[in-house]
Amino acid sequence: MTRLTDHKTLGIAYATTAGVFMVVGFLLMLLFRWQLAWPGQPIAVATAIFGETNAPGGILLPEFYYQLVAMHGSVMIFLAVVPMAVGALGSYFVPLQIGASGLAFPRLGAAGYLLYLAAGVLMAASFVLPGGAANSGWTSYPPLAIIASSGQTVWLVGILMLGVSSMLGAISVLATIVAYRAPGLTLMRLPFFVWSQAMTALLLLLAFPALQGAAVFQLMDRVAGTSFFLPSGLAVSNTPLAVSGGGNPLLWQHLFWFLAHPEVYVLILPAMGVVAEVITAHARRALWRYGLMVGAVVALGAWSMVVWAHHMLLTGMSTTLSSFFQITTMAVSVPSVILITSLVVTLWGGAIRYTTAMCFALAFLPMFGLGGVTGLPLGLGPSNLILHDTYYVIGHFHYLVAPGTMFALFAATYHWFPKVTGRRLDERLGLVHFIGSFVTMNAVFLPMFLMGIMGVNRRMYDAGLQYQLAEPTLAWNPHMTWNAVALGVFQLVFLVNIVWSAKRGTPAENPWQATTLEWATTSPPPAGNFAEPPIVTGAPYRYEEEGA
Amino acid sequence: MSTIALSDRQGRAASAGMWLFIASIVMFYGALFSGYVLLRAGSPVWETPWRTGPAAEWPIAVDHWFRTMWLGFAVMQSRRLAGEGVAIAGLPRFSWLVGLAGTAFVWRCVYIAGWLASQGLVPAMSVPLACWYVLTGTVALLVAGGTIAAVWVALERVPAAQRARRGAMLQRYWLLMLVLWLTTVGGLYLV
Repeated sequence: MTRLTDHKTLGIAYATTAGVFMVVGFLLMLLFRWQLAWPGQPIAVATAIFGETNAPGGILLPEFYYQLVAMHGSVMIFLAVVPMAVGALGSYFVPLQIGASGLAFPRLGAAGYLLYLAAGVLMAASFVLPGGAANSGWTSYPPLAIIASSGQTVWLVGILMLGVSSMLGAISVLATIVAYRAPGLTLMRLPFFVWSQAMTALLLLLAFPALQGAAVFQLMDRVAGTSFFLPSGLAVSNTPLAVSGGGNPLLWQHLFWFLAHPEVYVLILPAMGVVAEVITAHARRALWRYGLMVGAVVALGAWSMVVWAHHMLLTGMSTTLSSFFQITTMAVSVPSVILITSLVVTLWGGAIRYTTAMCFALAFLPMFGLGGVTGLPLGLGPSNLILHDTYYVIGHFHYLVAPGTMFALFAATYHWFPKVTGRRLDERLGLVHFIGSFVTMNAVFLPMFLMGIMGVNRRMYDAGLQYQLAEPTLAWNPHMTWNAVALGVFQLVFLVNIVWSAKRGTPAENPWQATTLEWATTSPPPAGNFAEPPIVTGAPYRYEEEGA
Repeated sequence: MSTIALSDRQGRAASAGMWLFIASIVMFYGALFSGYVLLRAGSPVWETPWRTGPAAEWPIAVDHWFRTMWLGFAVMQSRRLAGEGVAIAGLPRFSWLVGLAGTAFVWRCVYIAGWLASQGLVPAMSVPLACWYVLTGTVALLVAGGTIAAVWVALERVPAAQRARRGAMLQRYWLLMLVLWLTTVGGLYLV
């Protein structure tokens, strides 16, 4: 606890834990991708590892398959990517970038991390419960989630804990930005990464409570026998449920998506911030229209809270309401386009250095663009009718999060590794990692758009074996699975690079000659971060100045 | 900015932190209350068993108003705590009074919930009852948190100025509690 009160230790603790959960989430994915590639074929060691209950004769049972899918989504979003993008990067770099000696509430930050760790362990351990882990998808829609096995209760408790953890972390980061900026560091001199983290923290703070409220209701339905989400006359397998009824399953969807749509921006905004830092430093250019970008990131955060029901266009909502959410959804793309355009134009006339960090940042732009553009048909009623719940949706959000946010996280690692360790990551291994990840990620996710357009539904245990429309796509699944395996192999290169470079990498203080405040101190930073409190006299990106 | 003393920064951070915390609580309670509104609006019949049948013998709504008064008292005391500070040597009595009012509130909430349950009016019986339990229970939990914070402030040995600042933070929280409770009572009994 004492050491965790240091924001740098806290950031590294978040990064390590989130990294472990990322591996867990990835392994879960490999398991269900095996099933999709070779439905019903046994996995050699599956019975030994998962037992007869889950994988008799090495064949994954449908019940276990759905646990894998639900927990992959939950682990990746709540336990891996968000804690990495917000907990790790935010805790470590926000105080440094604003010239502070630490977080405003270090004990709150540490408590937030411990809660996150406990929630993660609890959720992961739910696999050993009778009936296994949560198996109603990461969206946990009722009534299914209410009649699901006991793992769902653990999932809900975990979500409540994660909500409190997010709140503590967000308060700590926001209060630090408000009160602990270095002298001269006005709001419009803040590095863009700090703006992105501030908006992210605000989103977490304001949107997560809605899911917590929903989790309280669902927990009551499961534990106390209430019917918040259970309608009257509900029967399961022709047996009427012994509940009072009178509830509304759509209420969960409203409350869930009130968080879960902003959650997409919680994943994206820090990525935008990272890419802005990397592009400016590695292209030697100040951000194009910094003020416009700040306005766009604020607008994006605020606007993201009034688009949630586009996930529910097919639930029978009124035309007026549906039109409202379709319009807001189209409008939210405007600030996103402003951000991407500004980042692209920043490159214009720059002295670009194609480092691994820069390669990942540059790859982020079209990958995120693809993820964003493919979201537009999903936000419109008529096309949503065709694409809803198909593989197209999976392709869309994975392009935002996998080659989108994940590439930005990789860029952040290569860019800031020298700051954390005082050594550079190996560039040759980095290039192998980049090319391998770029090719394999696209090979995994690109076919999903076509599968979705052809009408292949998501959440099918047998990959659609029984449907004629899915027949042409069945042969694609083994290729996608092999590429997922290859993607894992390239991540091993990344891990080797981290371990090797942390001890034997080339020593470096500020290898990118970056001008933001975190580079104004030694690498790694000392206790208290700065020998003398820094005084800020200008904009964060001064690459066009002589000698910068 | 350069002349801002560390204590000023701590004060600004604490103030910002408290407002953010309050915003988060408002969103949490807002989610629960909007759920209640949605369920109630979508239900053709909204029975309130605590008003009819065996529960009618006990005027729970009146009890709620008593609790509202206790909360109001707690807010008043926390205002005094914030405004005047507390002598370092003596017991910070305002803080204790806030704690006592909060404890009485939580005790009544638990008592009433237990009494209703003993009458067979459990949350599983109907959605209106479930809403009653969740909304009043949530406020009781939040009040319990505020009570613990008030006692904490009472027990901490810190300079008077610092205690006064914490009192000011506490006062905002108790004002929020009053607003939440009035919303709950209004939503459950008046609408």
